[in-house]
Amino acid sequence: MSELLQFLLSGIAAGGIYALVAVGFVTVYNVLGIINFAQGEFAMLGALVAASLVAHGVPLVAAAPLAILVAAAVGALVERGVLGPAQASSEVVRIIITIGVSISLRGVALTIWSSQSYGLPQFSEGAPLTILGAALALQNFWVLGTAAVIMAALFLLFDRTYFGSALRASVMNRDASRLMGISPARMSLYAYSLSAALGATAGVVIAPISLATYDMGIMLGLKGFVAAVMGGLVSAPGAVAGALLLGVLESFAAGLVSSGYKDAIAFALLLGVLVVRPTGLFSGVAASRQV
Amino acid sequence: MSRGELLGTGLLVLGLAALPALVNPYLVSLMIIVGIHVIVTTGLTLLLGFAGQISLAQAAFYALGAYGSMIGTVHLGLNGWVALVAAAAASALVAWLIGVPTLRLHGHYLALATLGFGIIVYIVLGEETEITGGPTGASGIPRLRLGAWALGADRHYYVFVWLVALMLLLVCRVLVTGSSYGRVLRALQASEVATESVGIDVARYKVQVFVLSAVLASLGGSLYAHYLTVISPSEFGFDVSIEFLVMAVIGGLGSVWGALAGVLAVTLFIEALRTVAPLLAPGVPTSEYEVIAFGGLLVLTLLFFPSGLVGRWAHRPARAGRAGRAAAAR
Amino acid sequence: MRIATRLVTLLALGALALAQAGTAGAQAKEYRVGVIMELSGPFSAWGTPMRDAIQLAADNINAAGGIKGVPVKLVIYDGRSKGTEALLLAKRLIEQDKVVAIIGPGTSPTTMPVVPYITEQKVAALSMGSSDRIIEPAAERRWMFRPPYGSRQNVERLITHFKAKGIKKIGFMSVNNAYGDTGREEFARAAGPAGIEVVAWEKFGGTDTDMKPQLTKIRGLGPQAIVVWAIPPAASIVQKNRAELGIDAIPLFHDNGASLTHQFIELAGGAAEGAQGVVIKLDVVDELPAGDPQRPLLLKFREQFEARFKTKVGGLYGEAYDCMLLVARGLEAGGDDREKVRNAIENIKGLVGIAGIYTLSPTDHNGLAAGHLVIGRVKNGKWSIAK
Repeated sequence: MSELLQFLLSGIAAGGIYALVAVGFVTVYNVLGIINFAQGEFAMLGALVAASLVAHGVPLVAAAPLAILVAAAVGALVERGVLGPAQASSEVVRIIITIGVSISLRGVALTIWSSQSYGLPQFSEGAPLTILGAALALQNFWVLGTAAVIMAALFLLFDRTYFGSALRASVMNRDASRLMGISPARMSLYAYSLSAALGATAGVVIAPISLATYDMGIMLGLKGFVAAVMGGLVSAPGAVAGALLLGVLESFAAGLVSSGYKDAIAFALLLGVLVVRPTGLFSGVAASRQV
Repeated sequence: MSRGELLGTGLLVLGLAALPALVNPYLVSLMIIVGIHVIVTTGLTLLLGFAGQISLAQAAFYALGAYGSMIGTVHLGLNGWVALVAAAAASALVAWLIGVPTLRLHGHYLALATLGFGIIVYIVLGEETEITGGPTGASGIPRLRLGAWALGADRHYYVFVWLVALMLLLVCRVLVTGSSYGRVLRALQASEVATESVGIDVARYKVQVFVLSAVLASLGGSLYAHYLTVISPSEFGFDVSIEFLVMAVIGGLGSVWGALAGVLAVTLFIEALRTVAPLLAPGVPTSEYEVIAFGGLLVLTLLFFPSGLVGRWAHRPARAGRAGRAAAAR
Repeated sequence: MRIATRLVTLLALGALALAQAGTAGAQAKEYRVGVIMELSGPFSAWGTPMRDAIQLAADNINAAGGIKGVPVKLVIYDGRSKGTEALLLAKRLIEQDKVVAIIGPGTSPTTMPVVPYITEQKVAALSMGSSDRIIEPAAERRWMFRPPYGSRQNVERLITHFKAKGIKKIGFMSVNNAYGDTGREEFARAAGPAGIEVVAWEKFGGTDTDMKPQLTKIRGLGPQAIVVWAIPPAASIVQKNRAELGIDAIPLFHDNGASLTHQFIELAGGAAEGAQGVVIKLDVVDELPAGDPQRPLLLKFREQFEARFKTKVGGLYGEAYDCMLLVARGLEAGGDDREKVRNAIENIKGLVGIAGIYTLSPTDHNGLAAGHLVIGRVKNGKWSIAK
């Protein structure tokens, strides 16, 4: 019994991690209309920058926000320097550009931090929580908590602020929003930087558990992406739900069936969703962004 | 084929034929790999250029070809050619199964599906050790034979691979430009909406192009397996799919020669880096910078040559608008 | 437009032809040794430290005047964790750079594709991979060497320890790649004859962040010990997970992979205390008796390495360093002659290296024995000889 409970808890913990990354994908897709293959790399940047700052004596409370800011700045640079000028190109080109960005960011990380792993201290000291023989490290609560807070914040942002409405408007109709005094280019910039910050937040919160390595963004990005697709790519709550589902299914598969095929679960799920309900598991209405 | 293209092709063939006599054997081996990569990348060039779809599983079909040939020859004792054809047929079938449900929809569902498929193939290759040799890989793949002649020496394999590559390129060229089939593909390239409104089943054509791209990748994989005689899953990961994609895009889409240009450009770039970097910074480990350079190359090419080196690619998003018209005017 | 395409292609071909002209023959006399390592890609965590150690060894040799006055020049290439790349680089090194011997590649999957070519070209290659397929069957692998400790020695050492402690029932966890698989296969082969029952064979991914499901499963089957075959960061995470689950009653043993760099202890933090595993003498050098033949060399190596690279030393660096020592012996006896170099390496007897003392033979292209390995236990953040 405690075995099954452990699988469940570990699964929820992993799901929380994927959720944080997935939310960034949704943000970019909603505003820029592209799949941002560099999302995982922003998580990696956040984690590594934070690890370096802490190693140089900066207290964690300061290192974390600083790392997130750095990532947001990098995101802004990327958007201004690369994505913005490519705005007129087709979706396909812009998606491939994000692939190029992810390769470059990995290369930069490899050069600065080399291929070894770095740790980050846990946010709060203390023994893991044990329930009926199953353990959940305290850091996992931070992960889940952060995911919840971010979801709430994004909801407020998009639904309750002028800025959020402006973001959504620039997506719906670029020309009309320009007429209203909204600059779609500026909105793209904000959205991409925001997404980078979200990714970095994920990285910082995850690093105490999974350690920071220059190539941690690859699998993280892919799994977060699968979670986002399960939510239809347009819905943040859907992405989080998808992420939790993914984490739990993975964990049970590893525990009960075969640990070697664990990663395949995520992608088998992806294929399943695409064939059965491409608009996402949780969307009631067809939420395709294509017109 | 226009006079210019004939001339150009002739010069190309001459250059390729003269190469082994001019350069050292290392470069001949490199060109064999280039030839194989050209075959694989052409599939992507066509898929992206004419169907406007991204496939992230080119390495998986490449693997199906390579492992198919390995299993066929090593485990089943089949003739190398038989295994090659069987593997290609299997890849075609799989591509069809993936393409039919996903290409019916508008949007980038094929990209997602191929992403999932590609990674699953990679994992299976590593897991099913009995059949595939697991992560350490499989060895002992025999050389292909033409009658009594075993294609073993690099010189011979070089000629063989490039003959196959050029043949396939010409076949694709004729297919795309010379026939009524090609007319549909070019119409598809110009405007999916317009083509559909004339009553053509656009999805069917897209599936066919996807199947073709899978078959080309599989052929490349088989040729690869018979060259290296040792294969392992690390050669067929997601990153390899990305590399093929990069080569296709840099070369230019919508023209059959794009793959050739792209593979050569990228391979040359990496070789140049390898030669030049240690000279610029002697004693400094430079391989890490090569990764940055590769990513930078992709980004810069797309920014300044969004149609690639050779491109006549004018794919617009389904929604026309200022962005679409700007791209068309390029 | 189409002519432009062809021109571009032709130019490319021409440029390639010129590229090869860039590598002229040797001007001053030097011994060129090729190095193929995984400096980027999934295996780069190993590759970079190995390259650094090999470079240190070459620099030491040159500082002492070279091999009979002739300096050693390393030609280092990044195999990008790919077998195809490794093969092409081997060709580049042998045909274009004209090296006398090759160190690398660094892993089994990247080494295997190179084997047929190396054998055909008759150049000695010292691979850092872990699979014995690299050097067996001996008759077909005259030119391949594999200096580092392999799974065979690790398993032998562990089983010796288990027999001494009366441990008969264990659970086995390994990382899901070539390295972990080699360990798994070897342990499976040796456990039965040694009378050890393996109650579970679990796997996990090298980048996984949570191995508690696997540990929980093993715990439930009641083994007397758990063996983990992985390298950091995964090995550290398993160690942490074990602490989180509170599995103190069942000792956990790592293979040599965990102790190869200091990363294991750093990343596992507090959970590393009490961790047990197979280590080499370098890790416990301070506790070695004064008469140990390796002691002086180990102390000097540690001092030098930590001063130059500003990082704690580990067995991986030692094993890579030793590759250069072996090649140096070959160069001493054989000079420029590839065949003579190979023969000299094959005949090395009693060479005191960092990882161990090497004695090779035509049927043993590894040269190390399980007897040089030690079972260690982490005490106060350092490895110590386990009692």
